[in-house]
Amino acid sequence: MIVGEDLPVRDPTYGIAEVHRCLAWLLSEIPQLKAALGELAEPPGWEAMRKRFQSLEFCRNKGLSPPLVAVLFGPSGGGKSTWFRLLTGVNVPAGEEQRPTTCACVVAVPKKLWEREFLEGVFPSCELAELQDPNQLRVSSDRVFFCPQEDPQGLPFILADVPDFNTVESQNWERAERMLARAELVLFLTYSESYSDRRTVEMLARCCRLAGQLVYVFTKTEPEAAREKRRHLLQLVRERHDLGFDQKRVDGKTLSEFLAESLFYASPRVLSSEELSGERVIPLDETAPGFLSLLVGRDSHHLVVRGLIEAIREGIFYSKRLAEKAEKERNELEGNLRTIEELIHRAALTVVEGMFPVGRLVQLAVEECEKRVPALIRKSLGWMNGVTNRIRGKVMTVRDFFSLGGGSNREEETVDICDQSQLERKRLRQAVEHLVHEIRSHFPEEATANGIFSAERCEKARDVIESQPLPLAGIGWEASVREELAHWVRENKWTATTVSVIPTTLGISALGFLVADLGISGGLIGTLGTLSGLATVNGVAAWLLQYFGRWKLQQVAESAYQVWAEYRAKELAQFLGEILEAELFKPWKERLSRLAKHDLGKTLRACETLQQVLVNVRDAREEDATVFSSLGPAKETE
Amino acid sequence: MAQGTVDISSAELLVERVARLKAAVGRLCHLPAAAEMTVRLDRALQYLQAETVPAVVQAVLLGPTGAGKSTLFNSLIRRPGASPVSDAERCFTKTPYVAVSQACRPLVAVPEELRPQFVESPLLGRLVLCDLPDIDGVLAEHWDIARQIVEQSHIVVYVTSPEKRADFRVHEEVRRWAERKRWLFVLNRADEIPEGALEEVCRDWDRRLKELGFDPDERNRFVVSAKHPQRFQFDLLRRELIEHDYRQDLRQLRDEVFLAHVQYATSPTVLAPLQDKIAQLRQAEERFAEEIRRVYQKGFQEPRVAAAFRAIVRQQVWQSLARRLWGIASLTAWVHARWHYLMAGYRLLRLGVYGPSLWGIARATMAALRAFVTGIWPLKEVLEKLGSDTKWRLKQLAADIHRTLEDHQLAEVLTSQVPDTAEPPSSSPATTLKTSLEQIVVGLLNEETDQELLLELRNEVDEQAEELASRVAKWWVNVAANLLPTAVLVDIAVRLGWAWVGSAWYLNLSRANYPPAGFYWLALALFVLSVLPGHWLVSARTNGQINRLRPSEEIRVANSGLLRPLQEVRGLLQDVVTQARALHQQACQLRQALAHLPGTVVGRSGDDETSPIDT
Repeated sequence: MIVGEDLPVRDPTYGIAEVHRCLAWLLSEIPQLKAALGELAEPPGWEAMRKRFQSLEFCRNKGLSPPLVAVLFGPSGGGKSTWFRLLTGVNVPAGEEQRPTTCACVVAVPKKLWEREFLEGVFPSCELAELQDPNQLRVSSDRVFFCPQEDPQGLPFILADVPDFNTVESQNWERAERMLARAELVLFLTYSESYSDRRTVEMLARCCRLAGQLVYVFTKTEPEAAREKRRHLLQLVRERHDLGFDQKRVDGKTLSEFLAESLFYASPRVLSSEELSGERVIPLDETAPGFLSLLVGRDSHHLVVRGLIEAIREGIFYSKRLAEKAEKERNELEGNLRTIEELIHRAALTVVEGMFPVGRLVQLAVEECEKRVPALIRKSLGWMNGVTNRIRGKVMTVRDFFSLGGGSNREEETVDICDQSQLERKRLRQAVEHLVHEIRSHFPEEATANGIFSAERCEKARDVIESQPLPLAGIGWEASVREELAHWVRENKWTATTVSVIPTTLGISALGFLVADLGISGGLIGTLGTLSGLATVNGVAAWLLQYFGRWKLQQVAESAYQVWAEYRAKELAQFLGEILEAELFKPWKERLSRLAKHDLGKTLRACETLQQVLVNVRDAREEDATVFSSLGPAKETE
Repeated sequence: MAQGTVDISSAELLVERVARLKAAVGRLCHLPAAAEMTVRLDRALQYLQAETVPAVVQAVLLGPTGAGKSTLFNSLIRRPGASPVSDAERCFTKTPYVAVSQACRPLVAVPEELRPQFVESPLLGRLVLCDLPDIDGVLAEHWDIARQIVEQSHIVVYVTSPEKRADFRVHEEVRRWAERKRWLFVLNRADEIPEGALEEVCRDWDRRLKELGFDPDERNRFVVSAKHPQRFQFDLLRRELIEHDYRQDLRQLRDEVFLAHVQYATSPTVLAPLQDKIAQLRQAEERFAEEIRRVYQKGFQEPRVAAAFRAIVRQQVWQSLARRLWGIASLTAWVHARWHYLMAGYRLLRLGVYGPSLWGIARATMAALRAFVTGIWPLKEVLEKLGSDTKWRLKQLAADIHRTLEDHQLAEVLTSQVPDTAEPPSSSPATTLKTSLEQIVVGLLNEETDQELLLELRNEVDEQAEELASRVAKWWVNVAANLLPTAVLVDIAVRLGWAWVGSAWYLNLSRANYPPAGFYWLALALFVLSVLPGHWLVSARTNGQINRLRPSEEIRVANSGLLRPLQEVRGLLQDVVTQARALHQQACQLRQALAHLPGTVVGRSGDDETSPIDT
């Protein structure tokens, strides 16, 4: 919402403390939020609000009246340095020989304000240096030089001369804009050929947005010609909507209206300070005051407050935009991380879905059965079973040998029983390759040479995964399986008795790490189903597995498989997630955690509050000092 | 090439090269720089195809608002008020004003939709002079109009004023066209420069022109006052621009525009991103080559793999020695390399000659199996032992390489050609048999990866064998191995020769005396014995080299097939850059040869640092 348009009814409830609180909150919060978002530049509007408020606070704390800062602003060749020289008596470089002439800012300070500490408070975050030699201004520098006013004009305010904003020395532009952000009074100087340059008009719009007051001067121009140019300029800014003069200020005026109401002057070439005060600087409106008397007679307090108010408007706009951007980015990052989590989980599932924990399941079955059968009976039966199995083992060995060449039943499939870690490692490698491909497909903007999912980073992450040992299988899944097995034991007592004697004969203790590769046998049902008449077996576990069907344990096996798969998938997903976070998407996590520290809601509320204050200001009459005084100085000038 | 002429055949040759470059760079059009180059090259070719020799030369006055372009225009054609001037209102010229002679008016190609205002000027001859709207005012549509006309022009007169001589916006516009046009530079309103400051102002302006990549001098840079044409350098400007006879320059101007387009399309700023890509791909290639080497080295750390590798290298070394050694030593090396195949062939021949028998078949089978085991089996064993881990790792590297190309937006450039892994058939029967057996092994390998692995291993075996063979077959080894058998052979030949002469029946029939049969057997036996020391010397050296071979350390895999995609893409990029640079240089040189034409061009041939930044 732009202040001045479609505003609610005036709400007089906001007090001074609230205004200060909101401003203080924004001033501390926004720079951190800007850093969290990785934005480097400080937009002029925000800078204006920050500098002007900090200057005001500094003066309030010192019990001083804040000084008015004026700036000579304009394109190269407009005469800024010449006028600065004439107004202040400081002999800065000026002239035609070099373009641009000025490459650094200089401020001329009235003698009564000549104190470094004071100036540092008035110009916060500026690197100040005393001007020793005017030629220092010809050298490109971010420092702001200060010097005392020499001229008997005795300007009651600080006057700044700045570099241009339109030559090829582009580093000058930012310096000029930084000083514009600080100044409340803008003296916009342009010569007749440049007033309608696009860049000049764009910067004029910026001045209209930020200035407490604007004074427009046509230099090197006769008054009649200047009047015509003023007419043309005002027509342009009124009719050309692409120039941005439709925006409104806090006082409700559009920028074009503000410009139209500003004071315009014209001046042929001015060569001496006497010419400034004489007839050579002519107001284009007959009712306007003379130029120097205008400068000397300014209500600085009023301008300071107005300048701050306009700057606050710009600052609110920027703060809102930043907070909304941060919120959007936070949501986006959370969404991205959720997506990655899902992809990782899916990858982990594909690893475990191809395995069946045959070894551990058999162990659990045996353990539950053992609880049912008394030890003495178990041992006796075990001895008998052992003899029988040794005979059977020999028979099966011969049968296995002949079935290697194809066997009598070609339709039966083989089951691959192997160590869990080996199979998992093998399947994990494949799953990780696929996972990397999926992640890069989902986030193509990061799948670049400098992105977080670059080929090199993915390669490194994959190597780390392969070099790390897999997490040991947990036992959290076994509780529910045990319950089902216990139920089965109760239903199948005699079968359970048979099962319980197996360990003593077959050395089942080492089965825990064995799994069946379901990829070979075609799934769990297939694995269990085909084993009833299995021709070829591989190991004790497979031999036992074949009896799951006979012993009516399919349902238990299926249920155990589901539980185990989900549990193990979580373990693997956590393993993958930790490594991938460290190697790949850590920047996202860090960015998210930086953004999460900021109370965006509070920032937006502070913006709303200040916006309402500005509404109050807009609706207040000029004479109503209540709201103004809440932002003004605490005492009169020392 | 004579000064002032462009060799037409050179220009035609450039056309072909431009078309070739455009075809090559078109494959890389996913890259922004390549896409831009394609568009610019296309523009150059279209210009040449569309344009016959121009009938007129078009010059434009380009500059910021308030520079005095219209005033200058009126002064140059000596028609005050032809293009209206206003001191009060800026951005005053809204449509182009075109000064042209009556005869050439139908030949002017300014689009009607721009609403050009024609001004008749018989002084101009073949020249068309355009006063353009500004390029820096608030009215952006003026910029579009100006650009459309500049696009079609041959000569640009950059007009500025003292205040605007460093204007950023104007400089950006000049940069936009710098490489594509011929230029004259005019600093107007010189009368407004204070006395004593003129020289300094000119020096400052020259500095700005040099920053744009130009070399201003008295032939192309003029300080004028359009309101006071009798002062300053107005006359010089007029002489250079208006009074020049363009009739002889028309064809050359056409070529000049084409060359300018080519220079623009192949400018260093367009090539710089491609060169960066090449450097990045080279780095990636080196990294992956090192990684592939490590994978193989790890695989060869297994002792059985190393032993099998040495066995097969040994076989290959003997084959190489057969080529490197000379004389009799070469023959023995050849026999050594193919001994088992020769034996297998011999046994099969015997079967054919003497008929099949059980014992004969068994012996032939054993001989064939032995040949198989000796030649092929180590290779298969190496393959198996390098097995699944190595194969998987190589597959991963192949995927990494593809992803690297994706990162650089170059994956789509890859061709789908499958490398031809089949070896060309060799000539000798033994080698043919060996190749056939290898093909049987290859057929047993189901996966394509195994076949690629086989090819890389064979290449590595060949390289290692060649290197070892070169170490074995020194010159003195050749001499030592051949000395004794040669001496024996010479002795036998002399004796046989002496006996031959001595036993000539036509000299004395009663004295005919031929060497006995035993002589020949003895000679053969002696010859065979004489070969052995040399053969043992070569064998001992070969075994020494083989035993010192450390496959896990020395394996190089210098040209792995996995790197082919990277190499292919990098080669394509390099080819494009090389062609573009050559074209750029040639275009610059040809343009410099047209120095007699009015105006100057940007940069010098090969001087890339002075080229301006393209917008």
